[in-house]
Amino acid sequence: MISIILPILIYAGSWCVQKRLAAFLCLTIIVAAPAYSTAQTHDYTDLSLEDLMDIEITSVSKRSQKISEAAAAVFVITNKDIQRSGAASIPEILRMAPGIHVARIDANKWAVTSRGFNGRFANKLLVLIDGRSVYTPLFSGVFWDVQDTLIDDIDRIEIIRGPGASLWGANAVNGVINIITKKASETNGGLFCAGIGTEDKHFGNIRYGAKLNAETDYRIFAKYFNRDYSLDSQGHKAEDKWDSLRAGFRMDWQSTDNESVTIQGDIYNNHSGDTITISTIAPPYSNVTDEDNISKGGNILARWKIQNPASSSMSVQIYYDSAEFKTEFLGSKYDTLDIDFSHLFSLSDSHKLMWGLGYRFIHENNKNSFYSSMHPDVLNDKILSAFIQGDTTLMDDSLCITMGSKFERNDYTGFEIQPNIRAIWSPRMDQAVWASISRAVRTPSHSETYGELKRYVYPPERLGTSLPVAITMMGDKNFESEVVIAYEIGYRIRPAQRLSLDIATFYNDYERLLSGEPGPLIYSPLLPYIIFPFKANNKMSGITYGVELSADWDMLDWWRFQASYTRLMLDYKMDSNSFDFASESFEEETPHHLFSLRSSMDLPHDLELDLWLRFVDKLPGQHVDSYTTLDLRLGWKPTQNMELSLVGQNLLERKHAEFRQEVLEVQQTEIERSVYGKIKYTF
Amino acid sequence: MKVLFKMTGQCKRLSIMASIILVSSMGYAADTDLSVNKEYQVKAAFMYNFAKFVEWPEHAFPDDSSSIILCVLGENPFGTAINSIDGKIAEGKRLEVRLYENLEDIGQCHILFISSSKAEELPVILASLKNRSVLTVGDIEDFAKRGGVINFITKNNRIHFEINVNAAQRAHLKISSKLANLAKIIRESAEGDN
Repeated sequence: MISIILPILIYAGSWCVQKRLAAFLCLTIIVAAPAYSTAQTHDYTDLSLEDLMDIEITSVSKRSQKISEAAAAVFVITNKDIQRSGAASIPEILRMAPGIHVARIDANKWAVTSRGFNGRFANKLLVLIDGRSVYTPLFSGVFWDVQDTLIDDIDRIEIIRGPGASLWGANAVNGVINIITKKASETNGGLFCAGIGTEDKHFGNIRYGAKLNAETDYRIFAKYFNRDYSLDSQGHKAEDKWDSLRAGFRMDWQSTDNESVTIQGDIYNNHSGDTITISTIAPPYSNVTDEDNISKGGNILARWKIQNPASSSMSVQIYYDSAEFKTEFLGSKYDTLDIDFSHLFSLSDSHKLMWGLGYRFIHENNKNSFYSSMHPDVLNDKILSAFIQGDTTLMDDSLCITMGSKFERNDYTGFEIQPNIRAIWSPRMDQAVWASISRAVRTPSHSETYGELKRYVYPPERLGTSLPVAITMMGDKNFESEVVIAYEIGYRIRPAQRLSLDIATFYNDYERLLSGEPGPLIYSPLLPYIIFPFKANNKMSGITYGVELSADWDMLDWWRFQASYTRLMLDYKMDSNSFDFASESFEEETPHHLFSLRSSMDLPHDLELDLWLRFVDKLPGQHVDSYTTLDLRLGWKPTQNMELSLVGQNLLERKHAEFRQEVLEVQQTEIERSVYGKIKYTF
Repeated sequence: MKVLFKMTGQCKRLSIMASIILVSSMGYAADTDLSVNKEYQVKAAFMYNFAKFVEWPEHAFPDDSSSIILCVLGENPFGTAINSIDGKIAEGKRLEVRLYENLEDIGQCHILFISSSKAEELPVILASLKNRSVLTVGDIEDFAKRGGVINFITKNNRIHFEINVNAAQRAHLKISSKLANLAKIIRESAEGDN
């Protein structure tokens, strides 16, 4: 949905919703152009006319730039930010954003969330790649190891903290991450990139793009990498090696009449490992074993769009996505078909309306074992949705009010309504205050409804029973959606031409959060064990509140600083009738402070020097200490076509731990200091 | 302002050598330079796009390998930004940038950017181009209404442009509908906005 909406938004000249994203992006582009010498003047010639018209410039008469008009906490990571960060994967890139907690569990697993509730199976963040949702219905989260593309071809990543549900639908409870790749017309030519390193051992990317005819461009790419194993807490080698192969394409057709068609797709094959503790029914009742995980999949997407800046825009998008992962004990294959329609038009000069419809069908086939199973193992889900949103500008365009709602019908909780109201007031060109109230829901995942996980098996002697007792996490059909009402206020100011500051604060009130309620023991003559079930229920509430600051200071043409700080507080509370004594402690598994400082220098002799300092607070609930770490990148462009870079990551310590996986007893490993060298050649 | 802009090059070089503290205060001093720079960097990229979306009559080019000649008349507001499009290929033709101080010096041009330093001479310049296939571009108030083909305008701190379709017709230029759809259309009889 988002990829349909965004271009429309960015297109239409004076829309408030659009301004927030487009303007923000443009601010970023502008400050992202530090040029040391005249030869390195920022080159905009690769941009399309539409993109050029979206770049905010400072007119000579008005010195200040108009501050972004997003009535939401938006952060944009540009292609340039990515290049300069040295980060090699999407989750690592996301560490730049305020409010986002990224933690590496092992070489091939991450926990990523916005505004709390982190976990490998974090479920309150919606992630889209070019309009395709990569949110897995199995556990309502994202398998980060299979979300990848050619990093050089990412145009930008838009991160919206806070509920984005009114536009993007359920599960955008705490945020939306929208990864947008470049149009094929922007990637004409060849790119070859290869490198070696201590952790990112070998990697290579190749892309070729060209014009098919005057109106059509395409590109194809392939990439491969293999990642070394990490170390466990004792310093022994872990079994989390990872290699990945991926290939994809994108084709864009742009008629002269503002009509465009995009067709894109990719396929991948990942092979990774870990060490898992599996419950067994026979003594010793648990088994520590190395497992291989094969993940493979592919997707194809087509989007048709017609847009006329003066009147309206319309688009239809359809995609098919198939993904599969398989280990010895777990496995799932899910196929998704999604169709979206959206339409935007003006009612008058100051009133705009946008609406849309969506349909998604998911077919899922699960592999069952004693340890983990799904009942039934084959599932078919249908989700129907509609949204409507109106924008009104008042007071000479200085006040913009947005109201809208998403309506969704799913097979689990029926009808869900997710409204929001937002306002932004820009009394002056260089500052803006915004506020919003929204309601969003996180719909039940398949695991919470049908899943069964034998988390531990207690030997008979432990509890004095005749049979072993399987402590089992069980889904429940009565599990309801989690709900949040979010209140947000933000302020943006550009106190000087080269400095912009953004403050976002929020207060989230959650109800019906997941709890695991013990149920009566289940005996069955057919089972050689007793089930002690903990059933999915909604007996927890919670509040989270916090502040996110970000600053962007283009101190000099050749030296830029970007900083962000996140303060997050949580308070979960079990309902009085709950017997879940564990879930409340999850509040101890969120860092209360996050800090990031990036420095980018363009030095003489075509050298680039980048520094990235990060601090992440401790997670007492996981016995994970706070850590401070530093990445360094030195880049050199000896010729126009060639770039050499040397990147050191996590330099301050030999190794550090970041996160322990919350469900499934996968061995947590520690992230080592690492170095890689890379050569990039364009032709 | 423009003088300041011309100094940017030296300013940047100096700042490299200065100490961090000194330099940071210079950073602010250079603000104005940067803003002019940015605006014209984007405008340069627009001109490159214009070259792609405008079709000249065949006789405008001696042969297939001829360049599209882009002339800047008057004080060059682009500075070095104009180099970013010099030599670029637009629809199979190389873009060649030439700078001219005076109208008399101008030879063959396909695109003529008329600097605001020449605003007063505009009627003379336009008259001298009459019936020639030259895409005139400017960022002067009412440039398009006064007979220029494309005028840059700034709206919401963003660059937009207007196209005088009658002037384009007179110059036998074919403006692609993509370009026209993004533009504010100016008609000489009456103003319309498409």
